[in-house]
Amino acid sequence: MISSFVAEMDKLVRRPATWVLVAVWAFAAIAFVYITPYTKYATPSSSVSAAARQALLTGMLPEKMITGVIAGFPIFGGAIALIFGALVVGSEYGWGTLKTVLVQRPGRVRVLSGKLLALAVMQVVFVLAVFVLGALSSFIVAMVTHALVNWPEAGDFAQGLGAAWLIMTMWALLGALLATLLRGATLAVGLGLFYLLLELLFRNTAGPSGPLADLSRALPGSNAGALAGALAPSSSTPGVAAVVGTTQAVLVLAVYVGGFVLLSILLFLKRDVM
Amino acid sequence: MEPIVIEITNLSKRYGKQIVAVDGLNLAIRKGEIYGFLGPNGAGKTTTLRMLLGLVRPTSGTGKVLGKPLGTATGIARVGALVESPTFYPYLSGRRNLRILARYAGVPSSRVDAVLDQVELTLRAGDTFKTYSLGMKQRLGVAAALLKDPDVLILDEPTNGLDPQGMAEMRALIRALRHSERTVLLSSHLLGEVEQICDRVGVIRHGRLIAEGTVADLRGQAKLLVRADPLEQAQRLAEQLYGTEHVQVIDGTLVLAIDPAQAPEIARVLVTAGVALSELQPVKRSLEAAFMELTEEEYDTVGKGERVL
Repeated sequence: MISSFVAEMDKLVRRPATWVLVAVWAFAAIAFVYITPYTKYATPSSSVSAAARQALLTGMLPEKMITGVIAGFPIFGGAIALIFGALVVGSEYGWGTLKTVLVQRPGRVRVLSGKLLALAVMQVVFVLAVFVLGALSSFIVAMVTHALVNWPEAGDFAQGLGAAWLIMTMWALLGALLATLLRGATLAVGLGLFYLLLELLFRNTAGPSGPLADLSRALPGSNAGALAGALAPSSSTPGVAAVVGTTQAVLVLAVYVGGFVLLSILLFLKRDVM
Repeated sequence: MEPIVIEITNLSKRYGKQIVAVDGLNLAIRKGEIYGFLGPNGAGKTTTLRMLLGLVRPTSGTGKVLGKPLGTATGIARVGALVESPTFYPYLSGRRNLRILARYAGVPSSRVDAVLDQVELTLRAGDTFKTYSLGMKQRLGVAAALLKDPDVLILDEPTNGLDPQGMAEMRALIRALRHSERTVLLSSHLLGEVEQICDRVGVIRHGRLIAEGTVADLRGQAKLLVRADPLEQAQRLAEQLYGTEHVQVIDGTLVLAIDPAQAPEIARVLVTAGVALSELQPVKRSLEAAFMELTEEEYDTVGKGERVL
């Protein structure tokens, strides 16, 4: 599997689409967490009170950096990860390169597990891009506003990075599963994003209790939102709410990760490669 | 006798209840053979090759490649293949594509330069695949098939879509790939090429093997073409000599199903009888004509299918 993983990493690192998605995601995250709030803060108007301006500033400072960036991962980061996962697997069907790879003898399980492992490893890049740019942006805001620079503790950083990676990996693997199921990227991306929105809508309409709420708490998006919500309790970002405990959220997401991998491999093993 | 390296027994592939792509196919190809696999579009050639390579699961039947069951990684460990059109990562160079495939194959990256040299693509190896011409893409496909220095080489329509120059280059390349230890299974529409390089040929139609043998077997008996005046007198004399079943008149030409070595005899008889003989020409059925007859295509057997020896 190691040689398949290395080959896959080689492809992903050299693929322009990888870096386009990383750049789009990093820019979107920084735009929502820093650029837009700072513009509001720096251009006072009668509609924004002094207290609201102070709250905007506090949210942008290094101390709140993890709280700020983590909230974007469940929905917006998830969408990017899902697209990436669908592209990584689906493009092989679109280009017809699966047959080129498989006739070199590596075996189907090795090919797909190497691919999924590389997909998970690449999520580190997506996470780090936003965390590094977030840290840089918050530092610049602190410098410009002459505020104190207090960074979160190393443990908080580790928790934030781990949570963001788990959320992104789960969505990326869902994209990969859909692409394996649909043998292509286009429909997988479309249906994946539709599901992401549908689940968000369902969670909003399911209410706080009852059978629908119970069902919604088992869904991947709810648990991703709960994990982010545990680190950003006061976030108003859509899809971020601590509807279940952190441990449960981590366990459920891990089950989804394992389930998506298993289903992808079973499908890949079973079906013909045309 | 050389050992069998590709063996298929009653191999079938069905899609749903209606479509039968391959129907109880049997094949046995021996080590060192160049085997031509022919058939019209949709006959089941590519599906058969995909089953040999484990890309498609057979509905029923069994097979072995180099003694290993079909579809296993060990089964294709010593098999190189180009299936249908060559497909690579468009944003990577030819060389990078091969390096990635070398990793999957578990062969040293030094093989990459060797096979690039073999297909004469070294000069353009650093360019991205999407900038390649069709001929270069096909050559890269053959290079990928050669990475493992395979004992069995499967080439599926390697000349597809090529212009005459590209076809000539590919022909030369395929000829160069032949050596005594390597078995080649060549699926091609380029019947002239198959005719020249293949030891044996199998013709498949509707998923079934309808003919198999050497090229000479499939071509059948040679004929003698006679233009004479008056034609009726020449026909009568020929029928007296060889029997009516061996004499045909097609488009004002006498076609005799006899050994062309008998040409002096018929010439002497006709000239002695005062028949004006304007042409006497041995003709041999081309593989293309045999293929068309076998696959029941409409074909003008004299005008196009016959080739002068």
